[in-house]
Amino acid sequence: MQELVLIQPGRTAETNLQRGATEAALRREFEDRLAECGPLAFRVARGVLRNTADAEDVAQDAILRAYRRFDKLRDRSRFRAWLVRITFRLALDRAKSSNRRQHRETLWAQPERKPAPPTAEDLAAANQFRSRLDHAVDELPEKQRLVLLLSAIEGHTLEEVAALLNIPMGTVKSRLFFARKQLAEKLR
Amino acid sequence: MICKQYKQALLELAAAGPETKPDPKLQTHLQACSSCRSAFENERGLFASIDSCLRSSANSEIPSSFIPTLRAQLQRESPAAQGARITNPLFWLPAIAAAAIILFIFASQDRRVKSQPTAEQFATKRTESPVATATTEPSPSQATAAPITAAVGKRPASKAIIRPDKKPGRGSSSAPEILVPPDQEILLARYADQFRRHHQLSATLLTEAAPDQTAELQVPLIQIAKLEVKPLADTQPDGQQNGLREK
Repeated sequence: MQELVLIQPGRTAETNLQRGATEAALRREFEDRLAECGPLAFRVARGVLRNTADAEDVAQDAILRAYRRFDKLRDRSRFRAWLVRITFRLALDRAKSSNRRQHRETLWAQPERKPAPPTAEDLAAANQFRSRLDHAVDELPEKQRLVLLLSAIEGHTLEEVAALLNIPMGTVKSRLFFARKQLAEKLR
Repeated sequence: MICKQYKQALLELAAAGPETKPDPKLQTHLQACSSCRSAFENERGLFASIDSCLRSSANSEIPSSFIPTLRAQLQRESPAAQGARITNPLFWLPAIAAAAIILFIFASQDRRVKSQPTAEQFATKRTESPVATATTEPSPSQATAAPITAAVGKRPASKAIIRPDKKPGRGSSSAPEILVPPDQEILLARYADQFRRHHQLSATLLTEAAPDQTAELQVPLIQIAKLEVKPLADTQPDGQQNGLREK
């Protein structure tokens, strides 16, 4: 037996109007959050990549992705944490791909490679320390690295980091502790 | 030299951060042991420099163009709205209307082409008129043009293929095929017909004026009559003859 469905012809237009209004509201909400969360996304990307241009690209990409899926985010209060995760993941991917590219280029240029003459900047202790620190941070496990990065960004407290990552406070503390300990061991 | 039993505890205390309070026992030892105190200070200095370095690199200045660029990108990109637009039936309505209009135009053009007189009819009409009779009377191309135009005229398709020099019964032609819009089909057939007629007329005129220019010139031999040579004695007068003799 054929099934019949009762429809209201004028309802489609109403639904579209409602949808348009919802979208406009979502967009306004997103733009409001953008001013607050955009810098954080940039800083997370910058912390991983250590390059302003790359960080800008990655942060923009992350924010656009977040925007595309903003309507699917059930708990809007988790937006900041969500964006941080997206940015961190994208930044790690970018860092890995750029490392691979750098490695390929190094291999390609190996026969002609000459040791760069040490400059005054290279010899400066601060820079040396910074480069060693960067290298040590790169070698940290991802979870510890993210906690370390977030605790350094914008003066986040441990509670804020815990809230951002939606993990218990004790976990944040232990991750931070082990991360710092490992860094100190490598820099000592 | 750091005391062995406190070494681990001191390192952990330094790693835990400056806000962490030391164990009372450890604090007492730190106050008593200068080497442990200096080692602990060194360790704290190391952690402080790590923290400051991390903070300075993590809180770098945000480019001024970052947020405006982002806003512009968001303005451009509205995937939710795009997705909704595609699923929305109103989005397809203008496209459907445009397609219907195009179809209607094509259909009406086809009908107009069918209702218009064919090239053959056109040609016969023209031969009936006095001007056309005067011009087309000597034309031998009428016989060849008529089938072509007739063939063209029969085509109801939106685009006709015209071979201006195609003869009936000819399998293939090296002449290019021309795709013609339906409304220009008859005009082009007429043009081809006229062109061919003029071409043949001019060829005929040229043939009459110079029948065979490429043939060898045949010049008739010059006929020269034989000279009659007569002796002088016979022809000259007597006086002269006497004079010569005297000389």
